[in-house]
Amino acid sequence: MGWSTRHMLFLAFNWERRRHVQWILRSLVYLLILLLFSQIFSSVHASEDRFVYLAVTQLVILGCRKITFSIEQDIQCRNWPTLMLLPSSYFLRKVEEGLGASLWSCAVLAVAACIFGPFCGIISWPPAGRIPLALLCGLLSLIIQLLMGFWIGLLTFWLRDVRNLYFLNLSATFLFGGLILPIDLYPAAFRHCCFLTPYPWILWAPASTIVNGTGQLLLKVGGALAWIGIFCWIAHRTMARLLQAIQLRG
Amino acid sequence: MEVARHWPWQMAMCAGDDWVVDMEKGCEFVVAEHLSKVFPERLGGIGWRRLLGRSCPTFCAVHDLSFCVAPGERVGFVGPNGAGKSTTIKLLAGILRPSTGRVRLFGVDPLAQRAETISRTAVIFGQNSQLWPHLTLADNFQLMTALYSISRADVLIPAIVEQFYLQGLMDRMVGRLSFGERMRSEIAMSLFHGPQLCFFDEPTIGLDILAKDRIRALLRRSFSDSGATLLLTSHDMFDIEHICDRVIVIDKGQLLIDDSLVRLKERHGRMRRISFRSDAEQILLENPHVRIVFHVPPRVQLEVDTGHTTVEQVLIEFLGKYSVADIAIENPSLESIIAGIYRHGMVH
Repeated sequence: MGWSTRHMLFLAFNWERRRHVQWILRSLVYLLILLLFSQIFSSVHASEDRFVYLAVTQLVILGCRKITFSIEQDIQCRNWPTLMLLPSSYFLRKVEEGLGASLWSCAVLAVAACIFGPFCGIISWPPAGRIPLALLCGLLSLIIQLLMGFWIGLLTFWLRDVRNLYFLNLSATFLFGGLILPIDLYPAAFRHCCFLTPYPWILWAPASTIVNGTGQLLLKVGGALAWIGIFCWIAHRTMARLLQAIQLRG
Repeated sequence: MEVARHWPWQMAMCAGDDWVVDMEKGCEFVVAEHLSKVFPERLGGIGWRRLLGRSCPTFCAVHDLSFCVAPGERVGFVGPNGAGKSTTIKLLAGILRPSTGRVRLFGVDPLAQRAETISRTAVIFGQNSQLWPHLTLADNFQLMTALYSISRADVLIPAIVEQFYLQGLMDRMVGRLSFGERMRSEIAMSLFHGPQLCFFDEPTIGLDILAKDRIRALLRRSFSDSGATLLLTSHDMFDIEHICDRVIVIDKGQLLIDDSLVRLKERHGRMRRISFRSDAEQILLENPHVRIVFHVPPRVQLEVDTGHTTVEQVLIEFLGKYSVADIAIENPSLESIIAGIYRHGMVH
């Protein structure tokens, strides 16, 4: 039986588009964060690049759909037919749904940043030539976040409550991904540690492409693809273990 | 003999998706052979017993259950709480793996050939919703047509909406539907892909009388029209009586009775209740096969074991001794028959 990825992406994109209140509130949160940091950066006379970097990292974090909690709900409600008895794989369905919704959210936040950016200190935007690679890095970043979210959601079956793990992952993303400051500014030893984790490919890769240009292409795209491969494998294995456990333990 | 079947909305789509059932191979439709399911008891915490290599205590939910279901049958699965009904449904649907024994749906193993069985079956668990609560009903239906790659959604969705009286609900968020509306939607959505075999686990649980009636009527009509096979569990015997034509009674994971509804009533429903309006102050009957259920003048109710005596004999004796203003004779309800079976654990 065929399964249309495009169809699921399109449906999720449309659902998110119709949740007006949600995306308007998210945009307000985004703008308030930008405003807050613009004040902080202004007071320490930081360069304009810092604002742009922060705008991109916040966009990637706020724009990504948090699929962990819908998976947690499916597992806590023991909604096994949804996991096991639909013709498409639960894994693909959730990631595609998350991606469709995230694309709309990111688009809205990007528009909000363009309109209200000047009020937050963003005066000049980077050259348009950097946009295609930044978009690619952003897309890969969303996929990595969704795969990690999917995997953490599946762990509900064994851990019962994954909220702490979710927030641990989020904190690690902020720290190792470089949410406020690019990891290029970290001390060398710590920077090398960061690159051993997947987090730089969530925040640093798309943001630094916008700010610093299209250098380190192989590192940015190749690294992201490698992490996507690793997380696909981990999520796939965990899903297989989960189904096995459900079949045995119910 | 081959019989073509289809759901009414498939006819509306002119899809030509009728399924053909070979009636001679009927009993291969659903087969459960010596089915058992043993669960490890939940220990909680970190599972220290397993770490120390100790064996976990186990709980046998289903024990050596065998039966088969022919195409087009509507089978009621009945048993007290914890009898193993839901576990059996999960085993048949391919959610659980049997500890021993085997399941065959349409001649194949539902666990090994999941894709084939999924496209031909539908499963509903009344206590768990499979609808996406953050979406409208229309979005849920749209998603379902995408999931099953149904091409004529524009024709199918209105046909199903009409069949299940869902007009006016389509733009509502699922989370805001009433329980009865949600269940109707749930059933409608489970039938989108025209399944040949449906497992419905307590679809009327928690519904009020009117909503239950509506669901029963819908199920009865849909399954009669389509000829699809249904395995239904319910604690409400009216559901079983109205929808099913065969009953399987299980208790403690074991088969107690597997019979047609008519025969079950004939065999196990031999007790009759006779109600009188009489002025008699004291009732004394010589027939030992009659029990006085209650006597609150002027009302008297007797229970007659028709296996040993007849209603006529009891009436002759009673009318001969006491003056009577009114008489009513009641057949036993399915509920009382099943309750008797639970109490006495009648083995098939």
